Amino acid sequence: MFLNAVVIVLQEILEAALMLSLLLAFVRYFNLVNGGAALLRRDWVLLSIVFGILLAWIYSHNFSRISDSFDYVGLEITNASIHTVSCACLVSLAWLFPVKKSDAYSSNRLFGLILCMVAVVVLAILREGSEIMQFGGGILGQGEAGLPIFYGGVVGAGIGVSTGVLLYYALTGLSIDGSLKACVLLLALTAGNMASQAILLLNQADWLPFTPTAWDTSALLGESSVLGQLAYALIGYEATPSILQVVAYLLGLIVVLASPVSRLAWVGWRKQAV
Amino acid sequence: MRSIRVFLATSIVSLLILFNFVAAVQGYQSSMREADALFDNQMLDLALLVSNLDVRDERLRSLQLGGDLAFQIWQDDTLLAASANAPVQALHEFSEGYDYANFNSYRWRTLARFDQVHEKWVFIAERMDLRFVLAENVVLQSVGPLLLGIPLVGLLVWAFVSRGLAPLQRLSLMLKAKPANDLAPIEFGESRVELDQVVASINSFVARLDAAMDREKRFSADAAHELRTPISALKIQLHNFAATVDADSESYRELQQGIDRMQHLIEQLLALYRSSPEQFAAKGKPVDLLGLAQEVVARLYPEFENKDQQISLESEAGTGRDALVIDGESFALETLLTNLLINASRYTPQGGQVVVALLRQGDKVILSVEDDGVGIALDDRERIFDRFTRLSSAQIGSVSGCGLGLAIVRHVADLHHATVSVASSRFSRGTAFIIEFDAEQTINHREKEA
Repeated sequence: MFLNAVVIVLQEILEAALMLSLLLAFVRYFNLVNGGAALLRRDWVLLSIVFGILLAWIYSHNFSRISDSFDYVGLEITNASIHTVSCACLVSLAWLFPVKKSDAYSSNRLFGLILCMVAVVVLAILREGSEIMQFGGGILGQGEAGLPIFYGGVVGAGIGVSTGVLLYYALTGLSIDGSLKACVLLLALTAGNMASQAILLLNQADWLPFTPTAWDTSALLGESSVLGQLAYALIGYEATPSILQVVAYLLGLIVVLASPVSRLAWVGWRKQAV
Repeated sequence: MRSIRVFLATSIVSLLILFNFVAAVQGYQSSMREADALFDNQMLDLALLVSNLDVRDERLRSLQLGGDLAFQIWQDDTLLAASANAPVQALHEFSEGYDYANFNSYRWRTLARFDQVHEKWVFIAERMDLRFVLAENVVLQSVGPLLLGIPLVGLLVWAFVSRGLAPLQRLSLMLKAKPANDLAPIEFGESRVELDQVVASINSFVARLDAAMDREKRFSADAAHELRTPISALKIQLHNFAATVDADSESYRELQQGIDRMQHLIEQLLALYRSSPEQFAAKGKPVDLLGLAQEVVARLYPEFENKDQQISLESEAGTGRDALVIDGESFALETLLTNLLINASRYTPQGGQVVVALLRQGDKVILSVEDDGVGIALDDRERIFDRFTRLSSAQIGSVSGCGLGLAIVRHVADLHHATVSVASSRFSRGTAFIIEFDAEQTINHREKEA
């Protein structure tokens, strides 16, 4: 039971923690290239987390009601919608990110940027938090027998949060150019991951036809191993993705990589750079 | 702003958690494998024991091995004996080795062993869930302390990082507390490899700055001395010149005004220099502001008389002379008052009014100079204290000046920890300059602090 708890909690916490680290690294990059002043603020983070937890609590208490809707695939449909909106927000983030000095001070653009980040964090916590709450609710009734599960949860959460913290320090410890490259790449991979997850959920709900498995690397890197979990959270690794999932993943990846901020990171619009 | 302490503490604790917890998971997995092998060996021992039981003993039929174990003894498709909780059919295939089976609503680990001597098959089964819980409880005994230890480790890391950074913090406080005019090298008692270079660099920088200031001081003193002498000579020559030319002629008057302006500029430059915080090293002593104001007003009286201006000095009725005494530097305060009064006279038209007022409010001694002159626009009220700032001629007409007077006023006020503000005067137009001295916080206080 210990190992199951580690895997379940790690999967959820890791995804949310990495997402938060990525966004904070983006904010830091933006403020750094704009003279170090806090042009893009960070006070929304705590509020988003609290709001996300509140929504997750409401969501987890209505699991059965949501699950019964849409011919008993309500949970899959809701989760697919959450993933789709998250993906759209990540793509908008890449396209809204100011690459010109004049844009960096446009309050409309900055507001849009913060709105996207808030939505991404709230949805990540809603998604992952509700599952942890559902899981945690199960342990509470088990008394002494719940101890291994509790230990597993703490270990999973510890690994997830510390990986998030270290990723943030790694991203912000790079040079300014390197930091932007890494952030954009991770953003693209996360957007691809969200798109692929949405497809998987719609498949499970039978709203989309199943397509053949594109490949099987479960022997090489198991999805439930710690490393597999990290790869899943970081680059959306799946051992046996369907062809439709791969297509959605690539689409999400390409749309982010085609954005102005990606061109800024690789081609380098030095002259009009923020 | 990023804190070194937070960065070090969070990254160290995160690394500790990550490595310890991943190691705990790995340790759990390998311990569980070991425990599995151990339990399998026990089953084999039990199989050896069971194969030696006398199958004709009727008591064997009702033997309970505890809920978590079961056995069967078979010979040629005939069940010779079994524990009470064993099923009637064979719980394992008739081939030696380990396997799994489901019966009595549980999953079991099974073992088959063929006894060559008695030609019997012995099957042993052990409940998986109980065996797993037992193993897990044993393995998790080592994980518990690890989890409990993490908050303690976090606190210790925070404490050690704080301790390690303490010299840096002390150095930073020391630099912050250093007065602006103190250019003595820092004496940082604690030697640290990382900080020694910083302290050495700061000290070398301060020494160079000190030398540069010294040179500037000498230059200013020399320049003032060198310029004062020829100007005095010029004035004498001008006075003598008046005997031979028409002293009322326009060229003579312009020459005289030019020399006066030059003299004033030099005096003001010297006053500005002397009143800058870097140079000001005077110790304060009690200064009677009312007496000082009376002296300055009396000295400048001819200026006001020339323009038919009314000058009056007010101090609040009942305010004792002692209440208007502050610790200060009388020469600097005299310069402040002189500059304010000359300004008031200059920017107030013929026949105007100027009022100098002194009053005590609690710990504050308030000096104000008000006039009914041209006044100062709201937007300009902060700017006028900058050096060489002059308002546009549309505002002040053709009044001459070098733009240093109010800069000196602010310097002197700052030295006395006083505040300067500009407001509209009590008259229908004009300006009020208000200087608020804190009777408790004057030069002496500052010296004590330093």
